[in-house]
Amino acid sequence: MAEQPSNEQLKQQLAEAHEVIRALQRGEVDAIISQRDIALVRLRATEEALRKLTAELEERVRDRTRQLEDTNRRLGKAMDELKTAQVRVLEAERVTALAALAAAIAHEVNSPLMGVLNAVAYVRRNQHDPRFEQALQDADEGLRHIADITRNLLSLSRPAGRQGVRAEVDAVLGRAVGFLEADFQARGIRLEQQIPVGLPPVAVDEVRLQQVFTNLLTNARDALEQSAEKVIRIAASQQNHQVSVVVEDTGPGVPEAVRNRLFEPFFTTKPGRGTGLGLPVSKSLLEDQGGDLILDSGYERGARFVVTLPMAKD
Amino acid sequence: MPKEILVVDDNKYAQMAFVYALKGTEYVVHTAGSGLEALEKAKGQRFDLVFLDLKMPEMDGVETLRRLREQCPDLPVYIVTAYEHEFMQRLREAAADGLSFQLAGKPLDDGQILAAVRGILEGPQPH
Repeated sequence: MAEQPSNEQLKQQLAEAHEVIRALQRGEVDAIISQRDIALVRLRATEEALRKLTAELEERVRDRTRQLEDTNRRLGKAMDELKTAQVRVLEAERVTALAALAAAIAHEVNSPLMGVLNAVAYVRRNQHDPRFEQALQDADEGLRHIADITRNLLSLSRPAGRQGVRAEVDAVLGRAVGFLEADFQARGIRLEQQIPVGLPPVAVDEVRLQQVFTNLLTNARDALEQSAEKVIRIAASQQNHQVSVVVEDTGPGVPEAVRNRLFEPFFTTKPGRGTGLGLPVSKSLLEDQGGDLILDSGYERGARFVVTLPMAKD
Repeated sequence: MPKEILVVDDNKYAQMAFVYALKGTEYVVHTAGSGLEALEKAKGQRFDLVFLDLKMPEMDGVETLRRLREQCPDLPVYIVTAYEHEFMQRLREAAADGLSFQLAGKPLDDGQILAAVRGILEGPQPH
């Protein structure tokens, strides 16, 4: 039950009522509208303003979030590029270190090699027993082959491009093949070559080109380990301003899952034996000089790599 | 009189290479295992040709060449090298100073050694 208003309160209320009546008499209709309604209108206006503000804030937050996501994505990309660059530097350092190691070994091997080579040559020159003729010839040939290898290894460690960048593809291929011929034969691998006469020289460093061919040939050799048919085919051709060299094998080919990782540094399908550097290094060596190395994924009967080389400007 | 050849190399296998390459030919091969030993031997007898290695401990090939030239200015010298960078600059300086020498790259087989010897001691060979 409501309390009875006091006299004071009554007087107050009467005064307010008088005010309203006077206002009405003056024609001020607004006075009829109760304070409560005014408050309600104000409240609604405030709610509306608040709603608008909230929507605005949400929009701003969404915008800012989008910006941040964008920046994040860009940062991620930059980090990936940095990692790739780092790997490339490490690769280059490692290749240099490997080349230096190979050269150091070649140096050490040279002297005893010279000794043995000449000792055998001496015996061969002076002995006449036919039973030993073949063995001495084989020893002699083997030693001269080793001498070729050490000479090759030593040339790898010399800085590239000292005499202007130019190479004869057939000569370089010949050297790379010569390196591996005996090995192929021992493994029963047949090598088929289609290298036309008169291929134009290419604007690629000889030593690096030989490195690339050697890499492709040893990969082909390794791929044929379990194969029944062991054939490696090399074909060279000229198209416009490029010379292409194709190296293919009759091995199991490159499985789909592995195809786009082939040129990834340190990725290897020969754990414990492969360095995982051959293909990525070969590819970047070539790209550096305007060439390229790709896997022909359309080839079904094994693995097929295509090297493209820019022609030398005369 | 047989021609006398001196081979200077601290590595016995390298010495062996020259000994075998020239065994049974008209050339007599002597060996020295160091620059000092080479200078001693050159003081004691006359040589017609010297094969000189560059990379030797204590006294290296370039230094040996300089001292040898002081003793025997006309002695033909074949430097046998793997073209190590560390020696190339000093060799160039020696050449600039007027010291004469021939260069041969390692490894050398018997054919190359004989050709080098005949080339220097017998004059130009028919090809």
